[in-house]
Amino acid sequence: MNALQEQLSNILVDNFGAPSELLTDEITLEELGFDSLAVVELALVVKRTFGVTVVSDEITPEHTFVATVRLLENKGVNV
Amino acid sequence: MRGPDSSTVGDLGAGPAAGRGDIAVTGLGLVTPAGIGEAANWAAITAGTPTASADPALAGLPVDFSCRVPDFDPNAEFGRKAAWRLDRFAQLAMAAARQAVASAGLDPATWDGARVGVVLGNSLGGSTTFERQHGTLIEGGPDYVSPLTVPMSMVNMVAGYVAIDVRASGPSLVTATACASGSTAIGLARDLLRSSACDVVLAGGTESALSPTVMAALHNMGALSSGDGDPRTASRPFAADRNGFVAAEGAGVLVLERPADARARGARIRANLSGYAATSDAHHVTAPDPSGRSAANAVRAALADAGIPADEVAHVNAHGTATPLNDAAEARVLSGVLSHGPLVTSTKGVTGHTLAAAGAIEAAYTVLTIENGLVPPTANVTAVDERLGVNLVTGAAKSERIDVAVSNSFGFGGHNSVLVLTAA
Repeated sequence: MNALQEQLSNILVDNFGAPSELLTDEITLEELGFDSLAVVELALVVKRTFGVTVVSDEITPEHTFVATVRLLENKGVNV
Repeated sequence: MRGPDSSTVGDLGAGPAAGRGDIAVTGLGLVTPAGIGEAANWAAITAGTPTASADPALAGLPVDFSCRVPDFDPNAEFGRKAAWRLDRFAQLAMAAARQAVASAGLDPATWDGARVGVVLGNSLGGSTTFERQHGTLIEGGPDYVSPLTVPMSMVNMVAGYVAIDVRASGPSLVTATACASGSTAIGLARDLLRSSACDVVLAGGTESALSPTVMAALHNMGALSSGDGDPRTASRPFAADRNGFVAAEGAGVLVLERPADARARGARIRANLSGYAATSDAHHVTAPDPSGRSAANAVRAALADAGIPADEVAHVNAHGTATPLNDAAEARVLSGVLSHGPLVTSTKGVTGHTLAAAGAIEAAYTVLTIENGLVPPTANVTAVDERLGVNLVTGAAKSERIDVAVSNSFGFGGHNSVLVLTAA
């Protein structure tokens, strides 16, 4: 797990109570307990933490963990 | 012992038909400053142990103490995944509702949820969430305001959350009659059972609004006790030196059923809800009508509803907030309607004032008082205000058989709600 993956997984677990034992690259946010409102909340935390804006059609509950990491990398997040 | 003799209960004219049927209380849930669960609450209430203490969240404010629920861990109760999206007023209610259902011996996994209703009182909703998000708006701009702000803050949501949690798909309602809300909820729940709209109703109240803005506003209104340097003794209902209430948080939920249904499933009937009535002062936004006329009418009407003569009331769990005006007006009501001098207590000396939750928490305490034959003392009262003429229990709890008790609740806006509870 690289530093960004680790930081994102910490956010998912600590802020949103995602079960850490379920975290895999291919698990979806929905499977981690996120609905559409929670995903918007996640985008706010991401903005506050990494300084990048993620709009609602860029991230959905169907996004996998690894797809979410890739999205942040594509936005220039580098931790 | 009980009869439809309305001549003994005052001058209400035709009034409601008396004795239309008791409703059984079969479960209690309490999440209050006095503790979590019946046992902890009853121990603190009967010992008269005050719960007010310095509140770090209020540091720097003129009143920097409150009564908070101790050791409540929402992550342990609901899991972090669910807890983070619930305001505390909903968390407290959900925990109390779960307790009440369990104590009634009911199982949401097997009940017919369509026949189960939820009626909860609340007044200030998720004001702590709202205040925090307002800070976010000012500090970071609109992009950072949580999309959950509205569903976390709306007062109605607590009934929705509880309904989801216990799979209750009958009517779910929130009553908002300020500090009478929890009592009003129990009264409306009674009607849902009497009309057969429901077979089981979870009825109660919840409040957690100890935010800096709310507390500053209550202080500026002159409603809060100054504490006089010692928060623990600040809540002194009916005391000669009372000087305001101590704000508190908490939730109380009762499980109500028709007695025949409760008996049919072998449930223990803890007490009966025998009467309920509500009136309005139509006098002032926040101050009670000093004559107590409408509040007295509520007591009379609740007794008429129960078909119980006033002189059979053995105990009153008073609204007793410890504000000079409330306690004086309530004392006038008691001396007018219940002039035979039943034992009076205000459990707010222990819990502080849980606002919209108070009526429900105190109804639960009244059930426990009837069950145990033990009237809790009014904490912190060293000298009763003798001008009030109230037969106040102070010092130690008093052993006394209680067959009929009244629980009063009054709220800003002039709402008066009175419950009559009787031994099963």
